[in-house]
Amino acid sequence: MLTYLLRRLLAFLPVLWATVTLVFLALRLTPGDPTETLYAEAQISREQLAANRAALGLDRPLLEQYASFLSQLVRGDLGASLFTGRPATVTIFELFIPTAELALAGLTVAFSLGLALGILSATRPAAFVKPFASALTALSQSLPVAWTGLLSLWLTAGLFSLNASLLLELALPALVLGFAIAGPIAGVTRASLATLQNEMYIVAARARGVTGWPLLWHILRVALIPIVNMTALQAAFLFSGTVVTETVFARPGLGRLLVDSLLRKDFPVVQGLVLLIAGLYLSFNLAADLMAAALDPRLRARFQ
Amino acid sequence: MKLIPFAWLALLLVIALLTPVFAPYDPTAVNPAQSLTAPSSQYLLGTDLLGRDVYSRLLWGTRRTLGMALLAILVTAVPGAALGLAAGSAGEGWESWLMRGLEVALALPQLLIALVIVAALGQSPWAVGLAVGAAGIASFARLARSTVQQVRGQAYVQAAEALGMAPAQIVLRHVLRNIAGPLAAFTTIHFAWAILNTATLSFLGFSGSPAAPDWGTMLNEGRAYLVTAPWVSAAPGAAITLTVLAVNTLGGAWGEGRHRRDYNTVG
Repeated sequence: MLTYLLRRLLAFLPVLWATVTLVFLALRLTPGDPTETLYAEAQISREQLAANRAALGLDRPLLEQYASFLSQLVRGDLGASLFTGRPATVTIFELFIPTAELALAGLTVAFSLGLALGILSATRPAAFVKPFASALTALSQSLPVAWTGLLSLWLTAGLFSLNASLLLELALPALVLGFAIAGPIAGVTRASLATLQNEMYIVAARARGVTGWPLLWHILRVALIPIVNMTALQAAFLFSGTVVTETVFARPGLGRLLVDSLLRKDFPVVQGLVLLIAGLYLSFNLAADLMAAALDPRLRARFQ
Repeated sequence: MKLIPFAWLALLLVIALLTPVFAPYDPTAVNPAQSLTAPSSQYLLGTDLLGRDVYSRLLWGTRRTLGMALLAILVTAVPGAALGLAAGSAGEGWESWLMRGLEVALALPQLLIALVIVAALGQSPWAVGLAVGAAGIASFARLARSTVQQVRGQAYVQAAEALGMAPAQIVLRHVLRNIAGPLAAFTTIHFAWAILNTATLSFLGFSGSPAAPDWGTMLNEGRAYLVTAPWVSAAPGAAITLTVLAVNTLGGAWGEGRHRRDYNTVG
């Protein structure tokens, strides 16, 4: 088990190195330079601009910049933001907190709504429920978040006063994001339940007279594996920042930070964010695999 | 069941090709006297802040919106299918290298990749289409590779191998033909994502000048006066939703559950 975990964690390193290197190159080999945005408005002379480029180390050969970036990185230092001068790690960490808040709230909505919709459309308790659940699932995967966000703001603008309470600041975006992610979770739940219903051990349980909730739990335990997989993927997406939701609801977060830093070519912040996001994706993937093993004893063999 | 979404997409195609025939007004004609007027018989979907006709802008936006999405799906599907075929049919060594490359691309959300590319290319509809398309290649390639592997295990492929057929010929004669169905399904799913992703990048302001409309840009324009003039973003919002819904419906139930590691939410 421990060796398995170590092996998986070690496999993160080349992927993280490759992503951060690709981004390092993509940022520097494309036209545009942070100093241009820095001094576009300030009307600073060419000499001053060159001096500032030198101060930021942007005039050094690419390989030299890369080497010093890597040597800083292994010491846990991402460098300072070229615009605010504050360490990129601090900026990222500060905005990670509101992002994680929204991610947790959105994930709770998504998981409960998605699971409910998926179970409803797979088990058909009443005739009208199934098409209703299917329609919601389809809508969830077709409505752009920008639009549901605006819709929710428009709908609540009449109901509440404009100085929205803390509840609305978090609840509304969480509902919007949760709804968008509930669709894929519902889809996986339905597909997973449908394939399992004809499995021999379920048929056997039915024959023994197991019905209702005990039967559902019997099915769900194994059915949860792809659901957990999908939820982990969506969690990684939420924790890495949701720029549209943050824009629509004027919330601070990593998504906005990424777009703004990309636009003004704030290299250290972008590199840090990409590293964080890739790390999140890999970790959530690993977590999903571990959870699958906890749910299904047959999968534990992989860990030996 | 599939008639309605098909008719909707056909209608969009006709509108995109023959916009001047349908659009009553110039989509960029500013008329401050008619700022934010509600939908009426004169302005079917009302006007925006500058008094431009939302209906005409919506129709003109069809061309740009679909154009960006089509460019994106081309950039995704062609190299994606080629890479998938290569990874699925090349020898052991090559395959593992290709897969490692894909692994790196798949460790990042598609929107992030698209954002990095579009920020590098500059802001234009072409950049948005290219960026969204390039971001989807890895996911498409992995799906294609998994179907190639299924087909390669089939008896007819093994028979062709045993008969001494050249690998390239096997790929073209047998494999490609038999994965055409699943490839079409991936293309549909990716096309739906391409519409959502390009609309999102436009919403964020990456498709360039707001004078020439596309649905994502229009959605963003309506944000500032959401309460007083909801029609400005309602029209493009509904148009995006209906189009993605239509493409998803045509793609069918295939998408459900099978692409779980590739599911691409944009938020």
